[in-house]
Amino acid sequence: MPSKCLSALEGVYHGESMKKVIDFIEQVQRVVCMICFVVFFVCIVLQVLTRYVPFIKILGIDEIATYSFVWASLLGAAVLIRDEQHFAFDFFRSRAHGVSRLVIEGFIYGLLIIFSFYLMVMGYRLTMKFSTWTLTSLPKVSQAWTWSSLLLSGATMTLYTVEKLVEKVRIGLEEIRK
Amino acid sequence: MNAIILVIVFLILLAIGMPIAFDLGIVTLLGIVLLGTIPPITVAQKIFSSLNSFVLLAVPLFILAANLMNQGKISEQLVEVADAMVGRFRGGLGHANVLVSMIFAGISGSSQADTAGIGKILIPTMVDNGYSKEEAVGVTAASSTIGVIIPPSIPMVIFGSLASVSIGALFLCGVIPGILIGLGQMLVVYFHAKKYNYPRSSSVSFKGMLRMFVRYLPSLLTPIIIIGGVVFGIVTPTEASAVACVYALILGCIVFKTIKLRELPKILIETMVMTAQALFALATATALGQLLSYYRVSTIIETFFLNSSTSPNMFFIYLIALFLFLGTFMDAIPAMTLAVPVLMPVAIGLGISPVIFGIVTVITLAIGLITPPYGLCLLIAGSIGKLSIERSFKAVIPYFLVILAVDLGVAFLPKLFLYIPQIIRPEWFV
Repeated sequence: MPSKCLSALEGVYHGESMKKVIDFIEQVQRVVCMICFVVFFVCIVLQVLTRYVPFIKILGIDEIATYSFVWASLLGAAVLIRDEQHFAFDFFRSRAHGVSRLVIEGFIYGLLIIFSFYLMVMGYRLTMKFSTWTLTSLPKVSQAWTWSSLLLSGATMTLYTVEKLVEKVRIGLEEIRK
Repeated sequence: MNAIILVIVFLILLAIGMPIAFDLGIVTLLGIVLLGTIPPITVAQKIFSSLNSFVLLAVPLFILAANLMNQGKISEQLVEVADAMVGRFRGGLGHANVLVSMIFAGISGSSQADTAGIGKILIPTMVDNGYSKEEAVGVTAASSTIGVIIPPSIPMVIFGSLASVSIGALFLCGVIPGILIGLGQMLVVYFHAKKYNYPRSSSVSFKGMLRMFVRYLPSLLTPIIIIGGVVFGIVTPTEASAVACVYALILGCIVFKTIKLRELPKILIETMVMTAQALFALATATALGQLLSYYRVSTIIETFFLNSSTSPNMFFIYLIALFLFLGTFMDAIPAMTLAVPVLMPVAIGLGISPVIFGIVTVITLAIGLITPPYGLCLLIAGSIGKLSIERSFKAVIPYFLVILAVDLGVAFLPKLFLYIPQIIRPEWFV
């Protein structure tokens, strides 16, 4: 039974094109994160300048900085799922082997998929809900741009956790087979 | 009944290795579902809105400043200066370790960045110079806790935003306890050096030291620019963090030429990782905080503190016990997010200065950085020195006691610690 599951999962996991697509999405996400980071950094530097250098006035700089920061944080949180870099106690997890390890990993990633999917769905609803609202200092910019960070973060988290679940189950089954 | 189920689920998920940020989020969602009266969308909305705060922008920027300082070898310069200043004493490298953490604390708001940056340089050097691994790991981990006590400090920024307390006042009041902890830790190094016969490391002449000061003056000015900027109202804490980054970039890229432009993406990614780790946990912890208010947990804790804390001293004893406990398995940010909004009204009711409440909270949670299982500085220093958690923790105990003593001092003698800050900026303490 494990070997049958394993060969089925290998088909999914070793689908090179699938992995390449996820790698590409992750790379794009990292670049977007970095751009958001640079944007809010520049905004704050400009804010200091606007206070001390006369004739420099930029509207909505606070909001641009804050929302770039929200984007960077939420997208960064999704990338960390794939890198397995979120803080966690691994005392029991790292000591578990065979079936118990497989059950623990399956349970953790199963819950992570549910929670990520929840964030994606709610992110979509919130984006729709606030799409007619605009930013306070930039009345032409829809709030959908800000809330969609939650949607995108939830969607990529779901993608990465599904990938991780498949990977963990494959490794677990391999271990059991040995 | 629901509350008991939630606590059990939280602990089980934590124990099996669920990432803490998601553990908090899942428990919050479950709690909302069990309540049945609040729409589940509230959790996602709260996660988003808790990040939507201008003050929080200081967190990644202080981390970036520290990473730039480490990458730009500015940490190495600070180690050199500290060693020149105190290396002549027995156990010189131990003293230098504490002193450099105090200087670095004035640049960085993160203790983890201090442990990683300074630890990589000093732990191997100390071991090569005849110090035990325990001593090297212990002093590095413990002294890096000063990173969040001497300003700038990320936990102080978070506390200020949670409790609506002036961050400038918190920064100002963190200086004296931070220096006292540093001096106390140097005293421990002194006794250890006598007992284990640790060597002197360097004896630089006064002239040589002066030359070194001039050469590294731009780096040594960094803490003065940052702390001075905030304390004297030239910049806000968030702006100070951006100024620190710009200054570190100028030092690294132009003055010392130790940072190449192609290295910047790597530094940014490293910063993003540390930021997202801390802030996603903060976001889900804030959502949990809201759930607790639905379950009236805040009222229960408040009632407990109100009934049992008949005096400010009793309040602080319970507060320190609570944060010492939370700090063993929780990061400072989620721990504060959970407890500070609940305890703030009690503290005010007892006539406690919100600033002192903040300083005691930050110092106590700094201790959590060196207590297992979730003592990040202990884990980082232990992994650099290749020392087990048990042996690392044994090594930090004397230093841990020093921090606790200063913490109790701030709690029980608040007027003493407020005296100088009140002279400098009286309007912050009205």
